[in-house]
Amino acid sequence: MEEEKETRSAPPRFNYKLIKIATLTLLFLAIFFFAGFFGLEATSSSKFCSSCHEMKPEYYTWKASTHSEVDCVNCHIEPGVKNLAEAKAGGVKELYKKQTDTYLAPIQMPKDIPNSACERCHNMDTREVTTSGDLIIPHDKHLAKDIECVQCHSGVAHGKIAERKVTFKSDYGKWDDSLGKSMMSDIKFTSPKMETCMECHEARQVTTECKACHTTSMYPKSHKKADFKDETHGSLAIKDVKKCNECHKYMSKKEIDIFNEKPASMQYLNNGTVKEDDIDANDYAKQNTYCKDCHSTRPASHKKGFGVSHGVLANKNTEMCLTCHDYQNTGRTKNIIVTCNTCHPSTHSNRDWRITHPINVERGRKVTEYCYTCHVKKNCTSCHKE
Amino acid sequence: MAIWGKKKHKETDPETREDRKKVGLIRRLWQKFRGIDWKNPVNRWKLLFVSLIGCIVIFGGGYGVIQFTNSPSFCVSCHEMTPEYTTYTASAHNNITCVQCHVKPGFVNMVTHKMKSMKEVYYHVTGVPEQIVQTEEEAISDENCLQCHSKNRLVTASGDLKVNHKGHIEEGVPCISCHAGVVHAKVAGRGINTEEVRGHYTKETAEKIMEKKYLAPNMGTCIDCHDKVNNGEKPWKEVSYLVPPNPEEMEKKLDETNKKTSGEAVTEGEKTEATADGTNAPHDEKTQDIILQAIGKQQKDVKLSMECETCHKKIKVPKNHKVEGWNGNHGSTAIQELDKCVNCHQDSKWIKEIPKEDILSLLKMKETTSKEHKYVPNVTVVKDQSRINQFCSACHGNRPAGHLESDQWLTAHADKAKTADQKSECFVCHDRDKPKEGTTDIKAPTDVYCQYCHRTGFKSDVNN
Repeated sequence: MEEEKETRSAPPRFNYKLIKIATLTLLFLAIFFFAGFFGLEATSSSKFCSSCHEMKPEYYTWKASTHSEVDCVNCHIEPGVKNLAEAKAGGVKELYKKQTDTYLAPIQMPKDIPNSACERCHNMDTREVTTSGDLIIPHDKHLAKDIECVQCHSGVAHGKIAERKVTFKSDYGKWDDSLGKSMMSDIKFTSPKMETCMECHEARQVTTECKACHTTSMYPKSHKKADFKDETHGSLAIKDVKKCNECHKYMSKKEIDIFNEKPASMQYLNNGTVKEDDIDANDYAKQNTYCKDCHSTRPASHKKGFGVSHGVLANKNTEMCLTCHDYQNTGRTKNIIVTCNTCHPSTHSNRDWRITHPINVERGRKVTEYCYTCHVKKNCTSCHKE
Repeated sequence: MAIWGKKKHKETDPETREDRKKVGLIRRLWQKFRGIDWKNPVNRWKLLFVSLIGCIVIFGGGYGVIQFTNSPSFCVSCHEMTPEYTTYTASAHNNITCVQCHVKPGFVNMVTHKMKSMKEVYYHVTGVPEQIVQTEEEAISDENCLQCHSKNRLVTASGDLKVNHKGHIEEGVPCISCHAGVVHAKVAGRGINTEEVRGHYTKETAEKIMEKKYLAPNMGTCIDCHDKVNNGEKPWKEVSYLVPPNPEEMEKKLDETNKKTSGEAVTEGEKTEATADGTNAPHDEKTQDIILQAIGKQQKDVKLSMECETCHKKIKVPKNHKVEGWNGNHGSTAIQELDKCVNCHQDSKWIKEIPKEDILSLLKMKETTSKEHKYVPNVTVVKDQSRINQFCSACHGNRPAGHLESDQWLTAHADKAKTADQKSECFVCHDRDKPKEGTTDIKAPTDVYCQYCHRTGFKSDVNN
């Protein structure tokens, strides 16, 4: 019987071929899909991203960040098959750029993380946001105005390393866990910056009052004293004008640049040394429009006939005058009110005119013929003897 | 086509048809399988083909089943999960799935859980429990939380709180000992996920149920645990401390105590009262003790100070409390602004256990509270509060220094109780009449009442 069956079940030739082809197709299809699936999984892991050394800074900062449990692709690839395919294709392109060394440095995100990526975890409808410290930030209002999450929270995963210029090729080897941790340790790089808030509020003409965002009034004790406004604030400002600036910079209508670091070119122009600039409270008061608004109203002491009588006062306390007035209008301070040299030409003792002088003049250098190339000889020689 | 072709061929075969009559289907198939000639390459290819299909079906199907049973929509396909599902969708964790929290990470854990959950299917068919409460072995582990919540994160406690998360983690306090309500708003503890009210859970009602006081850690939990630590315990080591009380076990306990008391031959009404009193009395005392510690009558040498400032940045004793003699003279302020008093002095805030609620009245109340309820100074309300509120009654039960010795005070108190105002002061702690038997009126902190001696009446009829 067995023999019989054997002969009977012998298949026709075409059947044999068909089943062979079908099996092989199925096998390869299965292998293809399996490999595809696992390949997709493997190339979606954060470890895979960090296998290129270009990504080391991003990888180690991410590992030290609050988002260390969320893989790269969760934020950097938008949900959806199309986006996934696009991102994978983009990855191949990046591989090519890496091999040919044609990528742009420093590596930056091609486009901002969309809200949808954040909202995969952070549900803004059901979650109440707890802001730190004394801050009030109505997230729902911001969202309603289409403010993107990353407009404020851009530093949350990588501490703004691209902005901080620490992601250059020469440094890739230096990155490890501890460097990542130290780069992420300063809260000023990971949490939203007040400057960002203020810039946006100003641009959109939203209130910039302290109490709009801070629950504590932010009003220092020294400011509560009765004589603060009229008498003591000046001397306090002279002591530490930087402290004033911390809050009052936001109240100025114009940008305050005197605290800005001088560009390297400027720093070395004067005798080739870098000087720690002492910021003068008077200069500050002339730049900050918040100070200036009051300072440019005429004080009670400046009665009629003050033009004649001011000499005595001015001799007693010149600094006091210089709070509002300048000796002369220079490129550095553009004061709209009367300067000393409106009447007393060329008063420049005590002032560091060398800063704005176009040609470097050493200290103690006498007036020479060379000065008269620009200056009027008669005016200078009335005081400066050759 | 080959397989089916072959099959048909076999079926038409008269010999096998005879076989079919004799033997069962499985045996027939087995015989057919035995009969296959493995030397024939075509059959080998067929085997490969079939096993490939089998593999794809098993793996693909398995993957599909796992994915399907992992989704929250599968969990809610049993109606008894409605309260849990509804609260979850309204919570801050609605972007993750049930199993991400409720099953420990790892493939083995996942499969084990699926096996164990067969039990739930059995219950679903045979009879759903009255109330579904997390059991001890189902308590959510830190591992689950840490899948998302990175240890790198600085915690910003809300409001004026300072909560040293690092310290708590180092001590091994599990996340859920404080954050138990974060997803389901403690519906089990509140007793509002019972069988008969499951239908009340909708998207709209969920918002009313998700109250902040249940989502956020409650102060009573902090206090209870801190107090236990001060007594040298580490309560979080017991899992039963972390999960809501199991209603079935509670019933058993209640039955036991009932049995004990029934031996003493008491009436039905008194019996329940006795048990209620028996369980509450030591509890109340404890709350009072803790309150006293908090307001500065501090026990010495404790590990964790129970004072408000331990956890609150901004809470300071109000200025009017610092006046000398505040302890004796706070009554009039209390009448004026009782609503402000209870902001801090509300005793329910100091207890870990959350009271059972009724979802119907809860939903109804929420509708009416939109009309702002404002406190109007009312001496009766304040008096009652002073008797119920354990913060007040902690002292109000004590004999005031002014009352001297009882034999002296007995004759001396007349001068102090002349006018209506003076009398109202007495009535804070003392009742005028004998408390009626079996009333639900609030009991006075002392059993001395006026009529106890003044049986024949009073000169002037002022009462309150």
